[in-house]
Amino acid sequence: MKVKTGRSISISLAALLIASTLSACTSNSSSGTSGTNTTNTTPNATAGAPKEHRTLTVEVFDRGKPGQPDLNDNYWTKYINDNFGKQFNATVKFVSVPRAQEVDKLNVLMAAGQAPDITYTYNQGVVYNYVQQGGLAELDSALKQYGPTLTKYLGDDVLKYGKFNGKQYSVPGKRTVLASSNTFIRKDWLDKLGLPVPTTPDQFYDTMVAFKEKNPGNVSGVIPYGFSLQPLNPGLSFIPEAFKPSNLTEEQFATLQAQSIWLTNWRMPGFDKAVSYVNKMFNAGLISPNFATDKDGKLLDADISNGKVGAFQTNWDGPYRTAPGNYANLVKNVPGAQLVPIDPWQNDAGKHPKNGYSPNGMYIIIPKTSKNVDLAIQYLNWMSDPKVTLFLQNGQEGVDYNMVNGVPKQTGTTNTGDKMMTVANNLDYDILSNGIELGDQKKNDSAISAGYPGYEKDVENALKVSMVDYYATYFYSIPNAADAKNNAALKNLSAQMLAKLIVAKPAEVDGLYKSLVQQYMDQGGKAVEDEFIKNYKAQNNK
Amino acid sequence: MSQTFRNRIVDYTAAAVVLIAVFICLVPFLYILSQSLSSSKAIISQAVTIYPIDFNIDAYKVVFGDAAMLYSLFYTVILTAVFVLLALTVTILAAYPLTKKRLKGRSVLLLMMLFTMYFSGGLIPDYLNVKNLSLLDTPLALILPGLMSVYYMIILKSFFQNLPDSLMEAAHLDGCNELQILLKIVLPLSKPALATVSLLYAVYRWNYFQDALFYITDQKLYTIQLKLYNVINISQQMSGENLLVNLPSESLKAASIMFGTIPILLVYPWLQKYFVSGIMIGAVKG
Repeated sequence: MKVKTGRSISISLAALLIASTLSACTSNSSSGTSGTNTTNTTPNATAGAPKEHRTLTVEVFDRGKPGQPDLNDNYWTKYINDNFGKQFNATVKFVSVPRAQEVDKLNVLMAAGQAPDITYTYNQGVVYNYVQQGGLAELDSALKQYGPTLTKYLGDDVLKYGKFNGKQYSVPGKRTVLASSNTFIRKDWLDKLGLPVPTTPDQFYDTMVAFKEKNPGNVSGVIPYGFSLQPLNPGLSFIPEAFKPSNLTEEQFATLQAQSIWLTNWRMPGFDKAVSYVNKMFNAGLISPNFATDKDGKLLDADISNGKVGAFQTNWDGPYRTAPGNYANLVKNVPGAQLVPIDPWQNDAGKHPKNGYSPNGMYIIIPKTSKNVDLAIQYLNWMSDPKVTLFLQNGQEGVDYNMVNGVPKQTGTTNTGDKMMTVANNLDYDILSNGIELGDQKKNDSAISAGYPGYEKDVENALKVSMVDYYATYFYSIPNAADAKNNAALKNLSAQMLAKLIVAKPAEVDGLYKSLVQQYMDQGGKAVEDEFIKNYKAQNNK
Repeated sequence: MSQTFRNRIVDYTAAAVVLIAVFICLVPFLYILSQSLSSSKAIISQAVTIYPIDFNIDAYKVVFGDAAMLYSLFYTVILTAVFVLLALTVTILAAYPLTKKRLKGRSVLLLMMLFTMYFSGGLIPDYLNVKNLSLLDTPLALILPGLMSVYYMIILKSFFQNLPDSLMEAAHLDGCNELQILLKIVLPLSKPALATVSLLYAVYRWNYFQDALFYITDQKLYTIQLKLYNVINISQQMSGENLLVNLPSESLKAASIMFGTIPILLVYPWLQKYFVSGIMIGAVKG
């Protein structure tokens, strides 16, 4: 019996291998022929004969979600092929690229001339590099000819992010949620101590002192302000907003805060004061003692969940997310715990400025080797039709979602099987919109909160708070080569500098700040800043 | 008396040291195992160490419920088996002739092979080569390029060289041809070396995913390690999305790791008897 099953297993295994080898061979030969087809038909197609059948290859992120369908053969790809494919006599073939290794794989595909006709990445540096190496097709004329709906949908505000040296090399997607971070506080602790919600940095500091001294949660090892220093994104979240002078000139803003506020803009006026503020908190025992070694923020998550933390900063929707699920775990561990977003980082003008995301999403690029530039733009143009967007993001009305007050409410059919979306709203197929797109910001906002069952009201409020006095980082149309070269090393250095400065004795911070920033400037910071100044002047014809 | 007592102390100390070392090696493994069997609340609160908390097997239900995961496990097992078989054959066929002094151009051949240990074409030329051979998106792309490791070939070659020449001369006088000598004399005596090299090849094929990452885009041909890599590292590069993305839970990641690790661990005990018999052969020969 045992022998028999063993043998049948080995036979079926062998059959499986042979089958997979054979199927691979056939698929290979068929793609080979379709490849030759494409080259044969290209002259005709450019001459304007849409009758020739063509194959358009499109990248799709493989997020490795358990139970996900074949990314090149599922409900969504069928919809795309049945609609766009039939209309334009084309087959759309999806090439999966593992999300976590997308840049590595993209580099190889680009270098070998094998990149899909429509390729995308969130990584701006990668796009800069391809532009400089001449690897991308220029899209101005194709956009003009084939992309009227597309151009209208994105508008100049978004399209400008795809322009390099005055030419359109990329079609950026549109980001519909621009909020970045929020500061959260334990409302139940405030209530217990009879304290108001802090609205200035000084009040925030006093509140943290009260949390430390009175320990309203009655926990051992109370952490008034939870903080983790992450080497990939070292910074002080929104705290520098409070210390940045409100009267910076545009040039100062562009060149001294060239990075997002939550990163280390060492030369930005006021950043030193923000560092001193955190240093003071550390020396008073108000922040996470292990902030420097908690490199992935997991310890902070644990401390929040265990109810030890009074306040912290994170993604605008951080606590409400299902993974890691900090709020849900906190309430399980500490019944009655309540987190609310607050706005304490008031500046000298009484405002609460918040640096958010720029309005562009992923960078969609077409490699120079592509023979289907026109078809690719037609594809994106087709996708920018609101009806198509609605379908790709939500599915079929009455089956996959129902309209409630003009906002689609999912029925749950897209969580499993053939219709499974590996990311909310199918962003990897509907590549033009980064986030739900209903054509109206108000509707979008209420649709977003519907994605957090149980926290709808909280999320709506959190989104509102994080968008108070929103602004985007300065837009550069010229790539900064020095930044591309030094960015990783400088980030690493910045993380070390920040750790040293926060744990220093308060009296030594100023001197240490100067000497460390000098070191930073010598190790590439100066080159980056000089190039930003040069680019700013070139862009504004100064 | 005191001699045996002292011996005993040495024995116990050695045993304790070994036990501690074993425990240290086992801790990461136990950590992942207990994570895979714990609730995500316990994991996020960092309450899980080396035994599960809120014991449940939900994560394994998800992993085993995923047909694609099971498929890729079986696929990888077969791929590894075929790879080891072919790689071993090629390595033996390269190593054995190179032990013969009468082989003309032996040193040149060896030099050419050694050259590849120090210099390689690099990622993109490798990719172009595989592409031009029409191997992209076929299992052969994961078999042919790494088919012979010069390093393992040298291990085998030195082992063959250490076999007594007189054995082979005797076989020759009895009428064996070279192939028969190889099959009937050399290989049976080299089981320990062959087992070692097979294990090294198997572990290499099982764990290596970079080639699959670049050469394979058809998800049906993904190896289990590539899938694992995807599941585990997905959260590290998600800054661009800034959105609600339903990340796999920590327990699911841990369960996936266990799922991908157990099969290759099972190979070792099976090969162990060859390691033991290898030691005994050495002992008899003195």
